[in-house]
Amino acid sequence: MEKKKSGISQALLILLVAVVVGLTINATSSKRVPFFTNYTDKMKADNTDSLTNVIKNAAEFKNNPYDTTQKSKPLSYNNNPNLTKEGYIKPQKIKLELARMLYEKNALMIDARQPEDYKLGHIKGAINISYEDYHFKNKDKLPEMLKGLNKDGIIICYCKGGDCDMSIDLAYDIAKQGFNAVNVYLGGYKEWEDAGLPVVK
Amino acid sequence: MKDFLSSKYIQLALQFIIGIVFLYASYNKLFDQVGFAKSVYGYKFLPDFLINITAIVVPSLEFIAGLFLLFGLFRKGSSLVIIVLLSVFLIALVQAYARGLDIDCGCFGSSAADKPSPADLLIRIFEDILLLLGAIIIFKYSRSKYYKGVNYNSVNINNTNNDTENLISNNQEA
Repeated sequence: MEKKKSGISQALLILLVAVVVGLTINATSSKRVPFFTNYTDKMKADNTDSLTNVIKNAAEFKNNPYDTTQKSKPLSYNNNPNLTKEGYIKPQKIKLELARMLYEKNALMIDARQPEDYKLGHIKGAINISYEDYHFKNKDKLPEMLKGLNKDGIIICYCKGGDCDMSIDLAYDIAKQGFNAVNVYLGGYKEWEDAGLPVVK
Repeated sequence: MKDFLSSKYIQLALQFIIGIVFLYASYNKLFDQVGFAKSVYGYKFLPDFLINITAIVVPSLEFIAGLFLLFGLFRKGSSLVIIVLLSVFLIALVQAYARGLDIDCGCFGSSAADKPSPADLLIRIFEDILLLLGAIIIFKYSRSKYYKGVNYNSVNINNTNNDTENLISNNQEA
C-alpha cells in the first residue's frame, strides 16, 4: 500500500512543479498562448452571402492589387460593416465558391505556408508570405513585404487547409497594416487543387 | 522473467531510453506553445478550453518527468506520470488514425520534418506502445533502494502472492 501511495504523491508533486514551470515559461515565451482561445469560432467561415451577391452582379469589376492609384474601394467593401474597435477591417473567412469568384476578379492570393511548401505547389499567381518566418523571426518585415500593394485591393490569404490557421493569423496582421479587403480562404491549397482550379507546381 | 525485468541493467537502460526520448520530445515544445496548441487542436480530441492549458503544461511535464527518470529520481512518480501521458497520447493517436485525420503529430514539436501521413501515425502509435511498456516495467519492477535490505515487506507489499519470490531474489542480489 505504502509503495503505491508514494508513486501517486510523487506524480502529483511532479505535476505541481510542471504547472509552475509551464506557466513561467509561457509567460516569458515569444510563442506564448493565452489561457483560452476559441478555436471553434476561429476556424468557422463567415456569412458572406451579401458579398457573394455583389460580386455575382459586378460583371465589369476587375481588381488590381498592384495599382496603388486606384481610388474607389471595390465592391461591397465600401462603407465596411466589419470595421473593428481597433480601427482595422476584420478579415472575412470565405469558402471555395467566393474565393473562386474573387480569384476570377483578379484578387491577390497570398500563400502563408513555408517557402518549401510554396515551392512544391501553390495557387497560380499567388505570392508567398510565410507566417512563421516573419511573425516569429522578423515582425518588422511585413510592411516591407506589402509595399507596392493597393490597400483597397482584394487579398485572399490561404494555407494548406484543414486545421491550418496561419492564413487567419496572417490575414489579421495584413489587415492591421491598413488593408481594407483582406479575406481568408479556409479550404486552402488542398481543396483548391482537389477542385481542379489553377495551380503551379 | 520478473528477475530479469527488475535487474539493475534493464531498469537503468529503460530509464535512460525513456528519459532521453521525453527530454527530446519536450525540447521543441517547451518554447513553442503556439505551435503545440495548434497540433493539439488538430487532434479534435480536447474541448477548446483545455487546449491551451495542455500546450502550457504538458511539455514541462514531459521535461520534468523525463529528467527525473533519466537521473533515477522519483522513479515511481515519474514513471507513473509518463504512463498517464503515453496512455492519453495513445488514445489521441488511435482516434486520429481511426477518423483518418490529416494531422501534424506534434509528438516531437511542430516542424516541417513532422509531415503528416497515415503511415507516420501508425509508426507513432507503435513507438507509443513500446515506450508505454517500458514505463510500466519501470513502474512495476523498479526496486526502491531506500527499502532494500531494510524491510523486504515494504518492497513489494501490494503484490502479496509474489512476496516469497521477491524475498529470494532480493536476497540473492544482496
